[in-house]
Amino acid sequence: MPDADPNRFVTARSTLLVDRFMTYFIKVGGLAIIAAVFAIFVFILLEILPLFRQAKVDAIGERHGPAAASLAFGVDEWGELPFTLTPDGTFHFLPATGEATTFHLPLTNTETVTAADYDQTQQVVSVGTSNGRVLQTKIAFTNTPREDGTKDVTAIPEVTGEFPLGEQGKPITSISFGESAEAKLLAVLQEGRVQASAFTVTRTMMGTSKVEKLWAKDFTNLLPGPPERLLVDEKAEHIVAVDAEGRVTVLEANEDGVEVFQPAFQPFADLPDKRIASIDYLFGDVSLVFTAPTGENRIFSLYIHKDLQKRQYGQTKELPKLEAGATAFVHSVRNKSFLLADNKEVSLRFATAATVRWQGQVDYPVRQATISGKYNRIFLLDDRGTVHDFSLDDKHPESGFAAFFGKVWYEGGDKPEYSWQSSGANDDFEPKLSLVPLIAGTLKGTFFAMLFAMPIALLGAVYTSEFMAPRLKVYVKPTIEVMASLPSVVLGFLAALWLAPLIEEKVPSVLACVVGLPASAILFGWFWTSLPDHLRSRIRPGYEFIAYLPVMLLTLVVCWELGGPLERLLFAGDFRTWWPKATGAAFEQRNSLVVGFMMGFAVIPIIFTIVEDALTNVPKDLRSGSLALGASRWQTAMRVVVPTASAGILSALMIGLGRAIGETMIVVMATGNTAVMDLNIFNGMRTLSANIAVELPEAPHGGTLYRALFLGAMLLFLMTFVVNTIAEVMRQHLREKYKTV
Amino acid sequence: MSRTPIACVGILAIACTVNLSAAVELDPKLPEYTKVAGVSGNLNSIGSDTLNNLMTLWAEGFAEHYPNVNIQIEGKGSTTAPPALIEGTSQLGPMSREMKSQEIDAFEKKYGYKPTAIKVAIDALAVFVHKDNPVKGLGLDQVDAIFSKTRKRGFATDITDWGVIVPEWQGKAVSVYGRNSASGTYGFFKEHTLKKGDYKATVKEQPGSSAVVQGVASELGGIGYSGIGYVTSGVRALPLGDTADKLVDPTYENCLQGKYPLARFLFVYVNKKPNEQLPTLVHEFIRYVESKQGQEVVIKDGYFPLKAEMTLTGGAQ
Repeated sequence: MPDADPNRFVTARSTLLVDRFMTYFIKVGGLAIIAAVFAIFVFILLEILPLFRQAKVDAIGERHGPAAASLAFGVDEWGELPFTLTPDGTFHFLPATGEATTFHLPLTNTETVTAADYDQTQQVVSVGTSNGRVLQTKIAFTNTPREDGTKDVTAIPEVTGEFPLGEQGKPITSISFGESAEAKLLAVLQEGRVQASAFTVTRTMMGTSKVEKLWAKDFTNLLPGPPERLLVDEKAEHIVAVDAEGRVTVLEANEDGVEVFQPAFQPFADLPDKRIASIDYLFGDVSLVFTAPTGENRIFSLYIHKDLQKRQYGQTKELPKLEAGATAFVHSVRNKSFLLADNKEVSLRFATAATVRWQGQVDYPVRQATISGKYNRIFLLDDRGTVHDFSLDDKHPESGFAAFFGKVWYEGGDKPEYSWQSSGANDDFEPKLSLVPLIAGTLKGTFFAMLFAMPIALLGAVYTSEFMAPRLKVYVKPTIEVMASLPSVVLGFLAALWLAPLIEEKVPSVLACVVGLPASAILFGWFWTSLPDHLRSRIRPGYEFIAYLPVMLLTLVVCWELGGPLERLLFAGDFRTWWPKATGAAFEQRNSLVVGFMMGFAVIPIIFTIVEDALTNVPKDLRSGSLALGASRWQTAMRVVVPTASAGILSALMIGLGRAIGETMIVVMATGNTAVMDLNIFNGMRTLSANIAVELPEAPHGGTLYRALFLGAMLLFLMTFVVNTIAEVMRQHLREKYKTV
Repeated sequence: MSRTPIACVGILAIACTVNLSAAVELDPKLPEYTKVAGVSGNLNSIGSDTLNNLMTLWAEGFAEHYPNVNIQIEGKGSTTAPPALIEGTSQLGPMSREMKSQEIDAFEKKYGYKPTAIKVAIDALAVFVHKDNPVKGLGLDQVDAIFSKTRKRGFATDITDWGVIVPEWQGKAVSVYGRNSASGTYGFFKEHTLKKGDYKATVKEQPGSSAVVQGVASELGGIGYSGIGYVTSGVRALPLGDTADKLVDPTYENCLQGKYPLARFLFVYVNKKPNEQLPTLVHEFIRYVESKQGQEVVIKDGYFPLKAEMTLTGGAQ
């Protein structure tokens, strides 16, 4: 017998090499996965961080204008060429370098400008003179890019009209003008008397328009006292008059004159000093921003009052107090931000969530302010005619914690609410970016999906693993696993075009089936166990369902047919109209029930197959021991197998939950994507993931909506992260508990 | 036998549509499109869903002249047009509304000049109801009360039940269909009907105009809006007016004269450098669209053609 090879226990070098390589390879792979997940997290985080940045405002220079008081102060949309209007009727355009250019209004010798109103959107300055004349000047700007990348902005002012209004020879102390596509409205204040004139504009698609004067009237008698200041809105519908005692009256212009729209109210009625230091519209002209002489800052918006069933101004917001009443006010023409300045404090605020974007001190009294059209420059005019330039970097003024998660009182709404409506077609649209309805929608969809999927998948798995004949199990399990490979877009398509209309027609039938089927199964089980043994033994163990099949089919048919009579009996003949009346909640065709069914369909195979594996992996000895000790199959399954496999069952549920939270296509297609917040099963929802899918193509790269969608992605990430972590902790705990078996 | 009334309604509806479009006549001053040499390449169009069919038809007609031109069209909504134009992924940006200043700002920031809007057709944005709905027409204040929670047009009550408007439908719920927020039609309707108010959360947002029309056609109590080109026999385009006593039909004539309240232009936005001509391919496509042939396609698709004065050349040959 030859000696045994002394090296027979030595592992081959190549094996050792492969082993060592694999050790490192797997380590590196594992670390890379962790790094990749972390990198995704960091990437999303970097995308959303700018949302929570404050505005950045920096002084970048100054330019010198005339020392005389300015009546109107504005700038072109690029923020290059600010202008002032002095009482002698001269516009001074002040470039950053070089000579100022001027433009003179055609005034008579002694005539001066006594009031002016600059409409930045229309770029029209309306002025009232000491002689009681009203002139309008349109200021157009052209922009020629220079070689070096800077802009050469020139102003083209042009007097566009003179309105005969009021009495000749008496100075106009306040003027305001509003122009919409269909109407124009002009109001002036002359020695305590208020005059207004309205015009209609009819436009054809050929581009021609015809202006007709409707009326010109004095309506001082409608006001409680002589006003100090007038405001006309851009829709040419309302005139807001403010008097010395802080009373605000809103008048409405109609075809034949003016009537009171809202009787006098005092925005600062609760303060000792009820006067109003500043008043102006917010962009869009449906909200009024007030400051009190003591610095309180309030916003009043037009909304439908519950008691009056009519639109009225009411206080919607209170912002942080300034040190004193504002001496300068200007609103942006791009968003709902506005700038307030008193003698030394300057504050840039955003109305939607009542946030202060930036606040700073200056060492000169601010007389006028303006924000460039593109919301990238601020200009402050001091009492000596110096214009101070500021750069403004505020890319996401409408965002912030309060805007995403807080209840916000939006313009036009009658109470603070959570709302998602991200984009509108007009500039003065107020984006509503609350993520709360989306989170609620995600949870709602997940809840209904799990409500449907969990019992079916769990019980199905227990049955397949513990009771079904092994020969059948071989076919059942792969079949259900094939279900998981159905693309969710197909499921969504089916849900939207087939299931939703079907369920809508047959709600009582569906409900009857949902109740009837499980009930019939339990009843049949009870009936079966009470049968004498010789009957039961005719069917081999594991094939009992064959006896139940006809019962199940019968129950299905009966419940389905029962739907009609049930509907007539219980739901007044039509469930669709009965439900809203009985519960006050909506009934939609594409509702949570449909989504629950279909998403359940997507989740069931995942839960089923993992649970089934976990149950099958329970050692055979345990099962045999339990049966040998006289426990029934049911007792063995419920008391021995299921608890031992509980760690696996839990992971299965959590993985299913994670899938339901992130599921997108089914929800996009099978719901109306309405961002409503309720638990009504017959209403739709909008989930975070569906929201990203629906809105990403319309979100400009780097914009607020774009980043808000990333914030939604982050929330999804965190939700699944938390769910999985909890699941893992519980799984470890359970594993520890059943380690001994 | 029970089928006869349904068939009658169907025939009536078809007859109505035919009548509406039969009245539309092409402006004789529109230029005839003539083929030029050396046009080939790829053209991408991303934007309006309202214009989607029309763009496809134009692309087909254009390709008849130039077989070497390959045009791809994607129509998810007007709001998708500006980002695509800015990123350069498309050369044509069909939009059913005008660009917002914010969108123009973003474009200008990248290119230093503003995008150019070209009028390509006229649309009467229509409010559709189910063909069996007895309502004659709606005032915009009523439409506002159906679609909006802010009711800026001042209708006294919220409308969720057809009984408010047609007494014989007492108890029938109004089922409201609308477009998703990417849509220019969504925006235009919001601005002009809701007076910039807010939609109710119960408006079912559909991804396309045809989905809206389909939804309305499938539900007796349905109401929705889309471009007039999407009308089918299952729905009826309502006459509208400022109030219910001043109803105007959505016809070409009424649109031109500014009587129909929701008439609008449909646009294609292009990236045109100031003082320079458009790239040949884009230029020829636009010239085709605004020609006699291109505007015939507009009629065929159910929209209204431009008058020669509205085109880029202003009717000068």
